[in-house]
Amino acid sequence: MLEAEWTEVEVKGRKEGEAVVSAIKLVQPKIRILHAAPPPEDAAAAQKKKEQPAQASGVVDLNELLHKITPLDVDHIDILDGQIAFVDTSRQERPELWLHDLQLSVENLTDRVRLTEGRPVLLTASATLARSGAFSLLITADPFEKGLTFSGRAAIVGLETAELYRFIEPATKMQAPEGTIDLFVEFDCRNGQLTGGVKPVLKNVKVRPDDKGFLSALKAWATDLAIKVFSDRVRDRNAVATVIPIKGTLTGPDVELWPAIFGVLRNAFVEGLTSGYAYLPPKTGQAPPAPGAQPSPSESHSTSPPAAP
Amino acid sequence: MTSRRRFGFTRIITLGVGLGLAGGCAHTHATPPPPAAVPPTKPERERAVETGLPISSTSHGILQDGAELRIQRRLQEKGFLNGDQTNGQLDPRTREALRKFQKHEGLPPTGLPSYETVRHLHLDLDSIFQTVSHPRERPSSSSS
Repeated sequence: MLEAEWTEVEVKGRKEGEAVVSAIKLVQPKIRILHAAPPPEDAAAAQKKKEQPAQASGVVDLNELLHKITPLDVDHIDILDGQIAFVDTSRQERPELWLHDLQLSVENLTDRVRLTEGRPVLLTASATLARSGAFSLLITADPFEKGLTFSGRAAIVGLETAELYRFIEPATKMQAPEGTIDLFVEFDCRNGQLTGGVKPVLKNVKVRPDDKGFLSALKAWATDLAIKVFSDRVRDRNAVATVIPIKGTLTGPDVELWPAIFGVLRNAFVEGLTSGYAYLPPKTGQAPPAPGAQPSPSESHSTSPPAAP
Repeated sequence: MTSRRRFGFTRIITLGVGLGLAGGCAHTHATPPPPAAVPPTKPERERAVETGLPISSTSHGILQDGAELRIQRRLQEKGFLNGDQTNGQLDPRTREALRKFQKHEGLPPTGLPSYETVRHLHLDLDSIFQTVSHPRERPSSSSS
């Protein structure tokens, strides 16, 4: 379920050849994405079905939304000072994770303009995730290729891990750890073949005994099970200081471009986050934790300074 | 031809959906698929992923070589960036300068170069953004 409201919308028409396309500017829109996460056992069962081809789950028809604003084909969308809330409706507390101060621009959505100028769709966006994470996103995409073709870079810088715990805490009663995390993601998808990498940088993170449960809870909620992204979890590798390659195949008649892109983004961030936690570097003189091993309570870790966003 | 409509009231739209944020932007057209629009991944990026070097997180494969410096110089000319801050990287100071420029121009202040931002900077799009590998013929007819 998606709810959207805004205080102001501006529609401009522009003649492109013999047709008229439109540009939409939404001011202070508030979008709520209501999401009922599967229970953990369902998520685990779904994970076992990795052999099944990737399929995008039910999606929002943006065309329907946009045509409520204008009957013209939309070539350009601007969002100023927007907010997006991801609401977990499967819990009584209905915890929300907010993306606010959203500034977004999507250009060249119609084929006529794109063909004239020879340019792909370009999406640029910045926002604040929860109260602390500086989020930025740059994506190019070709909706008219036979197979999914897109490329993107995204970053979250300075996200306090406690923010994520606050989201998970109502169900798990977990304690919020200290520390911040930066995540850098880049990906390319050519005709359905996805490659890329995630780089997590954890700073001053204190690991607690219940973090494994936290990661499971986060992954169960946040991962798009319809989009498979595989990382190469290598034992004894310090994932915090390196890039975790991701790859996958996004094919099938039901896979659509934009849901696939956001599914990849979502999964990449969760993969980076959980890999960063799972393979925190050991204290001096200790061996790296084995996959699935429980870290010592309240270990504190810090990694090298983050790359420039 | 320009038409303009403005709504000064709150609109609420609710759609019944499952997961996924945006599904309908990709219009369905009869136009044959063009050559790949997204430029090839740069070898440096591939090596970075393989060797675990830091990834750029911003512009590899999307912007032209030297695009960041061109943007910085134009921001400098327009007084949004100091001269000693032109280092050819889309660093936080450059992004903040871009953000200020975008606000000044009434554009979404993302701090990232969009097509419209580059047009407002009076820079050639081809000098900033990578384009398709092969020139593309304009279709004789297209539907939208």
